[in-house]
Amino acid sequence: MILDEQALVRDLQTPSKSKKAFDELMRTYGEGMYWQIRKLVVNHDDALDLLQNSFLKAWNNIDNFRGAAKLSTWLYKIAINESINFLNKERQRRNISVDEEGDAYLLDNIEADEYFDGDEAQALLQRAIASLPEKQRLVFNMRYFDEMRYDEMSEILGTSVGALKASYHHAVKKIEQIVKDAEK
Amino acid sequence: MKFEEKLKDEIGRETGFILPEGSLEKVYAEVKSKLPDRKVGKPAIVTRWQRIRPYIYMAAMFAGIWCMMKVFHTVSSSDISLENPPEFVAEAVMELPSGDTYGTVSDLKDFEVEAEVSDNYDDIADFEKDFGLELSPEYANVEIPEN
Repeated sequence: MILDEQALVRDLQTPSKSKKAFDELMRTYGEGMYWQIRKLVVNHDDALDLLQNSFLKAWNNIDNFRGAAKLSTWLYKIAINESINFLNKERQRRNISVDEEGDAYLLDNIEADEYFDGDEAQALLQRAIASLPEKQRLVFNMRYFDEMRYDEMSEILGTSVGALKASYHHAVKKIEQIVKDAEK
Repeated sequence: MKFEEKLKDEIGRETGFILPEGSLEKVYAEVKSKLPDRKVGKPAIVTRWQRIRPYIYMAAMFAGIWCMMKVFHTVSSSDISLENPPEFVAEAVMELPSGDTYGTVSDLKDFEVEAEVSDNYDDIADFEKDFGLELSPEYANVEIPEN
């Protein structure tokens, strides 16, 4: 943990300074957390709701943060768990099996989404990513878009580096197949 | 060209998703308004026993290990052998009855003595002669039953 983070955590766990420190935490890590959530759930409004929930969860559990991992790692874990729980509930609500088609339904109307201004190729890529199993989606997003190191990913996702590399490799292969099939 | 490289060239690292300006600020304000107050907890009171307890447990553990090592050392370095048994073992062996496997007559039960006599003697007079006994008159005419 970097020195600034140590001071921030100390203030977060001091009742008289915690609210001000939490404001600083939100501004420092909020955007990164938002994008982790958004890439999973796609919808902007859903992502904002989940971001809010993630912050409230972090506030309620700040005393449990021991500093063994980075603050960003801990916050990203919370954000990803909130997102996964949300997606599980959505699938249940729509009676969709994640094994059959992943979360491809999320991009049914992506072109009409006012918060998406990508081109056709980007839309196709997002559809391909959404059809992947959850873990592969997470790994692909973190590796391809965020260029995150595997050891960082391993801390956040609680998976070994070897398994993450295998996941990424499979994800790329599947996306390649989907893109090639779409181009035919 | 590898597919991944091709992706990077054609699409880059942009997702295509937009984050409207000011959205995050609204979230921060919303969260701040919902934050419950943190309770100032009472400082934990650490008693003297709680402070020294770990050291006492460690000392007890090392004392136990020392005792075990002492016992093992004593057993391994002693001169115990069959030719030179400890004193108490030698005494116990001395007290064991010697002779045949039946032991002395005094170890036998009454019915066993009776069986022994009837097996070995046809006439009570022979028994009296061998053992230098003179049975009392009431037993003089007792017949030794045949098996």
